[in-house]
Amino acid sequence: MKQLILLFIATLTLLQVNANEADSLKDGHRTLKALEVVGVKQMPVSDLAAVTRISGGAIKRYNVVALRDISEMAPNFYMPEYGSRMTSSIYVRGLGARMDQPIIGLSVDNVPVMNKDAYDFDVADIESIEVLRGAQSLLNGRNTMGGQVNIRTLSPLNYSGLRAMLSYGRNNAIRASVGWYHRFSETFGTSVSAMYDMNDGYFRNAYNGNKIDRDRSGSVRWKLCWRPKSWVSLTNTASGSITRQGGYPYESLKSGVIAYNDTCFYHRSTFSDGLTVAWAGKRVVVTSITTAQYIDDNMTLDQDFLPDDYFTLTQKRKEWSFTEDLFTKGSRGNYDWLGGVFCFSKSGQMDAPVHFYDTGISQLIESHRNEMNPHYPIKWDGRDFVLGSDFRQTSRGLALYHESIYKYNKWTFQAGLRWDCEWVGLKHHSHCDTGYETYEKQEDGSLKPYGHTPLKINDRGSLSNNYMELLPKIAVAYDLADIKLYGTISKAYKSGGYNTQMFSDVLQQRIMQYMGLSMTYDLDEVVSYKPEKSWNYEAGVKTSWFNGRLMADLALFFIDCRDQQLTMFPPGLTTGRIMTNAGQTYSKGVELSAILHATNSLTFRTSYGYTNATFRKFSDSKGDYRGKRLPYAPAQTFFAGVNWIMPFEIAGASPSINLNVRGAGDIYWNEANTVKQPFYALLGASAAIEKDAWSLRIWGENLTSTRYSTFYFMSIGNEFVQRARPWQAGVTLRVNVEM
Amino acid sequence: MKKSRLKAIAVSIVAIAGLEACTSGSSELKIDQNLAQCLTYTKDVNTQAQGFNRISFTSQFNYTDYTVDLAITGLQIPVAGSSNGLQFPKMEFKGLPWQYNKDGWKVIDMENIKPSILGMNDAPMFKEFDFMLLDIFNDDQTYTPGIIYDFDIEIGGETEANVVGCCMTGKTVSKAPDGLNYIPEEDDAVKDKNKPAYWLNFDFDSSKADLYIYNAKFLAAMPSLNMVFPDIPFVISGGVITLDSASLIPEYNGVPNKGFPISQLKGTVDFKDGMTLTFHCNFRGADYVVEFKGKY
Repeated sequence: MKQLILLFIATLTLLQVNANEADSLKDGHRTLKALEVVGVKQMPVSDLAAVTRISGGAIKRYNVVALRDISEMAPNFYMPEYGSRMTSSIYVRGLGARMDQPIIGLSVDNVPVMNKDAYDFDVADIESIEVLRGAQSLLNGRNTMGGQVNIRTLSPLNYSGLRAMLSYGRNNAIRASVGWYHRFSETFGTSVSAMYDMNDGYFRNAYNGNKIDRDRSGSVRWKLCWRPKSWVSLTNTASGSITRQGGYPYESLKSGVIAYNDTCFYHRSTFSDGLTVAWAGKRVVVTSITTAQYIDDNMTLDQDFLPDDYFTLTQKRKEWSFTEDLFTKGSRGNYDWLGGVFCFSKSGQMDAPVHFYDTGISQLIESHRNEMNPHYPIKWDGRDFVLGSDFRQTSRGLALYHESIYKYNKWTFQAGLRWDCEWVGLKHHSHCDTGYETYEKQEDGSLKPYGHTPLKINDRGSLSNNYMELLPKIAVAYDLADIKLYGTISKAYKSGGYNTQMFSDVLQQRIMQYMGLSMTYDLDEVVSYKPEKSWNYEAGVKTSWFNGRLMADLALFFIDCRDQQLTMFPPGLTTGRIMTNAGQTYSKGVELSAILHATNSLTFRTSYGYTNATFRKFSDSKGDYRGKRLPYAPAQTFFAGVNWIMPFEIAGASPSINLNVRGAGDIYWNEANTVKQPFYALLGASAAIEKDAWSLRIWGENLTSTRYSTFYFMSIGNEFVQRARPWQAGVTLRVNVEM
Repeated sequence: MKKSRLKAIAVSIVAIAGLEACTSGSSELKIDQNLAQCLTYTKDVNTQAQGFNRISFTSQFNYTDYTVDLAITGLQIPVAGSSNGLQFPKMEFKGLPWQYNKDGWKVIDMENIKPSILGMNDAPMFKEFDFMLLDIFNDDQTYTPGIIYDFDIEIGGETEANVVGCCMTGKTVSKAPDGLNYIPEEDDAVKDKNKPAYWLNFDFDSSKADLYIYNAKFLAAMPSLNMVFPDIPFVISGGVITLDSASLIPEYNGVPNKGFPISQLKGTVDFKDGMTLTFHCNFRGADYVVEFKGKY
């Protein structure tokens, strides 16, 4: 194995070790640096990009335990609450996705989260969150068109002791975590942490009076860090989580209430393990990141969200993913480079039946059909039936990438290229066993049986496709010490694949064929979608003032997105929506962020993002949307916070106050831009007293109980919104016992 | 589906000239004929999957013992849930009996026959095999054969498909009461494979024909439907078939629909010039006049 690594290094290594390396050589190897130990792939010039880092005190002040908690804190980064932890859609710079492939990559301790449906989870003891905005495809590959988020948790080599947190808030919201960190030696440590989160829900189902969005979730994380030599480090992080969530508090716009009769829930279990091995040779550092992930979830919905028995949808899935990222880094004088190979394999099975009930059969099938032919009405066999769909999905990918950075005086030049190829396959099985009786209406109004039509559908098939992308990037930066200017041009892409949700529409059309419909969907055309590609142009400046007390960044960006993956009404048909590559969009905007340490005890933090994301080309059978704004992505995001540590102590503890405002909008809910959520702002505050070993914080969020919607959709002609949570308040106690 | 027996069409021109080849070296007279790219409609009876494609026939008619060797190329059965159909290699039938009817059509009418297919042990069973060929030699020496075929196929003891041809395509103009025209063949939203096609099934015993309109679409907002205009009376004169029906009730998948009555249907059919057809369709009280002109 070592020989293979050495052979690989020999093919990538082009240059001799820098003779001026500050690190000393020991036994022929140099010592790993801190970032190299944790397997950070970014190069020093990576700072010359739109980056937001949140760490330490900010994580505690703003109760950050999940990705959603930093929404708006990074400009143009928006992660709304869509109804369950499964629908964790993220929008960055106007780009985003409600389903299938994500727009942003996510990793936790180097473990890339391969499924967007698992992006919403709680993490205990977050040490830092880094949000890299803009295309990150060169180093991170597929599905990082909008950026990359890296979460790092506390390392047992940096801390040894016991940490606990207990929080209680409105609606019986309880959050508890405990972490045991033990450093056996300077080079070996382990930690085990666990977290539990629950609340009784914020919204009530008027149909049965029950709280609809109860949430219970728990997670465990085990981390092992070992540095057997100064040039070798191993870190293994294993984690598991269980989520049991009611969900989908969708309110009817017409009635103003949430009222539906069938079960809605989301259950999820996940497991992941990531092993990072770093090895420093004379000339290079070789890092291997190997991960395995498993997700097992079940989303069940009352699909009509009405008190009537229309239909329900279940989506049960089991999926395994494996990734391997092997890269080397080196430097020689003013030249730094990084190169590597990445591969992944993902395979899963899904069972997604749609269950039709009495009202759905009578209103959606019988009534339409009988209106067309009242002289020969039909009556369904039984008052419920199942449209069954099950799938096996596989995807595999391989990528080679290289990045070179050259510094000349104050200039830094960066160029890189990634070759990314992917193969996707889908085996599908759609089935139903039902039927209907046709009657002939007699003159006296009675019905005489005319004939019976069995509907025995058992369709099987397979689809496959492959994609190849070349993803270049060039960047240039100019360093004026406290002012750094940069500009980048890069290409990014979002993977193609198959939209399994369309199969129920396909199956419904198949049923209509028995009633005389002739046109049917071209399966490959309505289910498959190609990669979405973008060219990203960005220029920015990072400044430091007053000896670093004020850090202010400005970024301007322009994104030309082609083959955008959109859902649309297909031409000429009147059933359902299909997922297709139908659009071209332009997204341009500006981002501002600043942190001011006015004094040692007074800190201001602010960020603002503006995005003008519009369709350049997009039309379906309902209209032409050129010039309209992209739906679901906010035009603006805003965050401002001030933290003041008071100049006195209470019982030896330091009191502090934090005030913050965050907001987003306008958000358009459809391509025609006829419905929108105007800009809204949320007020938050907290007061805390802190000592070294403990802290107590009283906090409140959305204190003005601003009423706004986070999601809008239509189902069988009815409009629904998800209302945001009302005001929340609570108290959090943290204990930290170093050993 | 109503099954009809194909019988003679009275035509004034009967020709066997202009054909591919003539073998008469032995005591037998054999003539080869190639019939290429006939528009064929195929439907899986059980799954309702349907599709169009073009199949070709090569034949060697033996005019001595009245047998024919017939090969079919390009037959494709649509498969539900798949964009691709089940495609068969060349199917060869040897020594099928044929006979002239009184009007000069060469008629093959068989049941339960299997072709031979190279490399395939279990060939599909043609439970019904009806094939009619009329050799038409035109005044300008061109050859425009009349071809009608109707097969019922069973594959693997399970799949049952019906194959009919030749279908006609052309231009359908639907005139709305407000004077606006809709032409589905010129609608970019309708793919080529979903454009309308017409097929006539003649019952010469009763002198009535069933007109099949596949992918019928008379309004932009109308979903494409397969419909049948049943029992259209026809007469034959001078090699031309004339259709005339004062009123009829169309059927969709075997079920009549009195909500969209058809009236004043008139049309002519011949194998050289194709079909012209007009009829009125009453859609929710509005009178639409539909005209079709197309060829085989």
